[in-house]
Amino acid sequence: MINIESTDNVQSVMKEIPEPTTGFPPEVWHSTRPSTRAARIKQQLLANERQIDVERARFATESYCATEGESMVIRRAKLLLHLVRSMSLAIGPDEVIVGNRSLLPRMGVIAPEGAVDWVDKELEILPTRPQDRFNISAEQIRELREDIFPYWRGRTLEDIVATRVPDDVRIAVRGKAFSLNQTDHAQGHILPSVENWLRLGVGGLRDKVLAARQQPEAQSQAQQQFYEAALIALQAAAELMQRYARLADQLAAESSDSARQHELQEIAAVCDWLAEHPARDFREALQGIWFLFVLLQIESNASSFSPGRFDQYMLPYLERDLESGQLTLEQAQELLEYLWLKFNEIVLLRSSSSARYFAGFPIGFNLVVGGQKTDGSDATNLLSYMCLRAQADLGLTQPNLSIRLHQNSPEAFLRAASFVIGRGSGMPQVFNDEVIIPGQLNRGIAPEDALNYAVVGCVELSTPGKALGWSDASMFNLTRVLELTLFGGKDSQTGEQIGLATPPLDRMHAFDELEAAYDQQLAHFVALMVKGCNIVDSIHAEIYPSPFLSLVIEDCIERGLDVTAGGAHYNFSGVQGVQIANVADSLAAIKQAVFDEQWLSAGDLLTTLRTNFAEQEVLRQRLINRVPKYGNDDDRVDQHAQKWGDRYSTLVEQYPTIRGGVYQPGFYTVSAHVPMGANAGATPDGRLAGTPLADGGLSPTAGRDKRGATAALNSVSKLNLELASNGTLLNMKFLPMFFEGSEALKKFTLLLRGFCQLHIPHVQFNVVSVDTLRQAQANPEEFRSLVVRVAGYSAYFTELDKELQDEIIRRTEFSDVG
Amino acid sequence: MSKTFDLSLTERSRLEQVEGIIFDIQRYSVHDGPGLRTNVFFKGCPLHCGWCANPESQSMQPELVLSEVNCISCGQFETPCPICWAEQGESGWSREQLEEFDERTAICPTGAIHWIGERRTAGDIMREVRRDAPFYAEGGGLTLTGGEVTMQPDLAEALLRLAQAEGISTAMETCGHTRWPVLERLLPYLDHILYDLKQVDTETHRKFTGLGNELILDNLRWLVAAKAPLTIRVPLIPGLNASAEPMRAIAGFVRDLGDSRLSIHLLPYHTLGQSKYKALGRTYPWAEHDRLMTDEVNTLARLVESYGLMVKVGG
Repeated sequence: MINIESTDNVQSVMKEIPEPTTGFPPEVWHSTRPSTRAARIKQQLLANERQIDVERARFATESYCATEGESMVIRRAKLLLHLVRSMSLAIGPDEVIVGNRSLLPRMGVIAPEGAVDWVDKELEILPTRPQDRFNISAEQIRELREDIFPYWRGRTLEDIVATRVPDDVRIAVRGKAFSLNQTDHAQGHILPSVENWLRLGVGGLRDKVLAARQQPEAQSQAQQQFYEAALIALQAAAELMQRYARLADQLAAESSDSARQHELQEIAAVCDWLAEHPARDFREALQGIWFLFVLLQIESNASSFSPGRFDQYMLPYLERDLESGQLTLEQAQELLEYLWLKFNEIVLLRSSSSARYFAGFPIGFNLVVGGQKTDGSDATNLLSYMCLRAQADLGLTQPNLSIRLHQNSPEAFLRAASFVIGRGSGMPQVFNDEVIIPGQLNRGIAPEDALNYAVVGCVELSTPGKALGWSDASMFNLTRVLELTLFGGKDSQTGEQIGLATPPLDRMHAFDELEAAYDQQLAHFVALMVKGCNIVDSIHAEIYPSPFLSLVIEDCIERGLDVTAGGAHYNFSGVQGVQIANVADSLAAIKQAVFDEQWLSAGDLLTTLRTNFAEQEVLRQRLINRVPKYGNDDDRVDQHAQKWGDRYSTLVEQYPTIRGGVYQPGFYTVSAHVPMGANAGATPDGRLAGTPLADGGLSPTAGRDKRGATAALNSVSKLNLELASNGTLLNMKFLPMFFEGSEALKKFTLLLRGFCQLHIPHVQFNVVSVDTLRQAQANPEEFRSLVVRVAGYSAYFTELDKELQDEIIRRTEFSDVG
Repeated sequence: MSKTFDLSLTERSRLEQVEGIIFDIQRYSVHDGPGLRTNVFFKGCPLHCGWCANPESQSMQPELVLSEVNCISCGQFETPCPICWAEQGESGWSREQLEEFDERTAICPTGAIHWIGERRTAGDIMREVRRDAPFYAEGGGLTLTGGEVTMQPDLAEALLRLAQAEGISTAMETCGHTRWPVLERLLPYLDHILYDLKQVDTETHRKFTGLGNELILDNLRWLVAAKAPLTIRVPLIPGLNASAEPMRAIAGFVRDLGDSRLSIHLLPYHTLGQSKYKALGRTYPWAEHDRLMTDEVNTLARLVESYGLMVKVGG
């Protein structure tokens, strides 16, 4: 019996939230389950086995063959038109919101203009590979190999990048100092202007293009080609919606169920209307949003087109319908959840190696609620709560739900968010206006745009409808570069010179010398990373223009310039430093063991690292346990995190991108701490060669933060995270007991308030599951930070007897939800 | 908000140098007072309760601890560390053993053998407490607990005064077994007192804690008379008080104190302290008692409520 507060049920928790802020009576929060129909759609979605789609590859090949010699922007628009005219469509038996970019939900779509080589290599293993599997038939394999791939060889993004990356960059990439991303598919990672799309509709956008085309300053051939492409893309958008309307008509005619018949006729009417006009009500707006994202995916097949501030731009539609009585709140919630389900229907087929960096199909429909309006007042509204409830009801992985917090966020909102976090889906993630907005201003973003920031993909920060942030340009392995520095710029195993020839650790006499060498190596590799990213960026502009996307990014239409060529109002490139915890812990270990206390010689340390601590477990444990670790609010180690995190930031931000704007640093990985750890040898923090780095981005190494959540947050806050304006990620793990009962939720909101004050841009809370606790029993080292909190008592989960651990596990099992 | 007391520079500097022995500073505590708290655990307690969840809090001396789960059997020593696998027995460690193990604490690669309890100054402790200031909204702050705080009144007073001077809310958990002047001395600097009441019957109290409860009951009456900011905490211990008769006596006693603001927090018995006994090389004295079922706890809570008292289960 740990905490009897759990006898409080959810109902009493939500009773304390004053009406009408939440929009729902407490018993609704208590039930938190989807409607019967939504539950059925969810079940079908999860039961459905993922298949490979060959249609896109087939029609793309047809289209490219037919348009050779034309300008690329027009070829891309014609590709979109050909795809929407040719692809197979379906409307599911329960669907109210319709549309997809493939026939079946969750199909693995192949976009050959990005890459064919890796696809070719992996065709046979797609159904069995370790991560993100897809079924594929022998006939599909044959068609791809014989009819499709040969055309593309030498023309794909991947192939062109391979021929243009110079040797110095290539050596650094091969030496695992950094990765170059967006080299085998379109880049995505953008917030379209959903607001403009809904407000103007296809017709309104067409008028805008036609007007812009007449401007005297838009008469160049390139601009005129862009406008022509934009008009073709709009034609494609209209035709796709019309095709769904005709399909709905046809299904209505075939249906013997009069209720469904009526629904299908409504669907047809909505699609027909949207094919030309702006959305008029909440349902049309939901359908309109989904068509927007389907079209963006058909055009680009890319990760992270994100809907942004949904609760802000959708509120007027909802309010109008509620006022007029067209919808009840319950009906609106149900419609909203149909869109939520749709966000789970698109997955991205990635290569095995990319799937390791981004495991589990994160497609990045990041949707953010709360925050501030452009006048600085609180923006939380009824829809913010409805979105939280949709996550509580469905518990799916998309949309990637985020909340924005600021000093004056209402208590009820924090409470509702804490309730949903406690249910354990890891959502909502929490973003902090108090540091993000100053960070955006610092990058030259206008105040009203900074206040209106939203989140792209996982945690990347951007301006809705106005920016190409190119937020996933590269991941820079700070840990690997430190490892190279220890060995004089050489790989510890092969001896190959990868970085600058600085002195190795055993030729250094003071810690300062190590810092000086690390600084030089960082500057060297950051310059190479930027050089590589610029090349990739320029190739996208050349072969991957995105005319449809450009319609929903301001100032592309005004300037007659595609978004990939720099048409957006704001342009950035984001490069992530990975991983600050391992760097800080390693430097603290070297400083203490080698230079200050001198119980380990530099030569012995190098040998130990080179041989991966073979026969040196006692030394490894000393390095782990007898040296301070990042995440415990201990300045002796946090100073290294602060120094090198900030140094990386200032190195990066001095470089302009080729589209205008600057490179901006971020500190996040999705699952990339695993492969990036695989790329690094043993490190002085006691990490074994090839094992994962710390997770998240700013998180302490798993199991090393042992002073509680507030101490970990304090450690992280020592970096100047205003500079990390591309986005940061911090993961924290909690036992479910921190969310049980109304009092526990209230205390959790105090942690959120403290987080807000500490100027950390992001945190995500993982409430550990029974499975995780079992892992912690078996492998305590990584879970030493799981604290148990009981009145007047202190302990760590991993230090309890097995029997007591089992007791906590049983309680968790009992209260596990979803 | 806390009452704040201005401190002169010399007084502050004097208070910062006051020393005492503590065994832990636990940040992000979600019980033991309002809001989020930083708990400072004092070492040393006059009572020796068999069910104690913090056995390392009882002695005022530093103690050697061997944590089996952290031992990797490193093989650095001629003889392996015996307490990883066996208990030391009633007599405790011999002087030679202590000296030998003391040397090992410096060499142990994981810290599995370590001393628990260290002398620290109030200034040093406050440096750590202050770090959590961003989390002390809505009445959160410093909680002194233990062990028994009142056994080290100088350190307690110094911490409480330093905290209040900075506007950090203060709380103290106490078993109540101390001389009244000690409580009187600390009272002005306390925003909350969490007062343990285990048994009303003196002989039972003596039998299970080693001491009678006369002081405890008297102090409680005086605190009520002084209008102290009190919360009564009753640990629900099977074999001691987790049944109807003792709880009636406790509820009756509290009702008769005649203060309608008093609330009672019932803290159900848990066995999470067991691993600590093993690490200290001691036998867990309360092993034969089972944990309480939720129903039993709720029944007792209703019983206390029937005396017209506000009851909360949990800290």
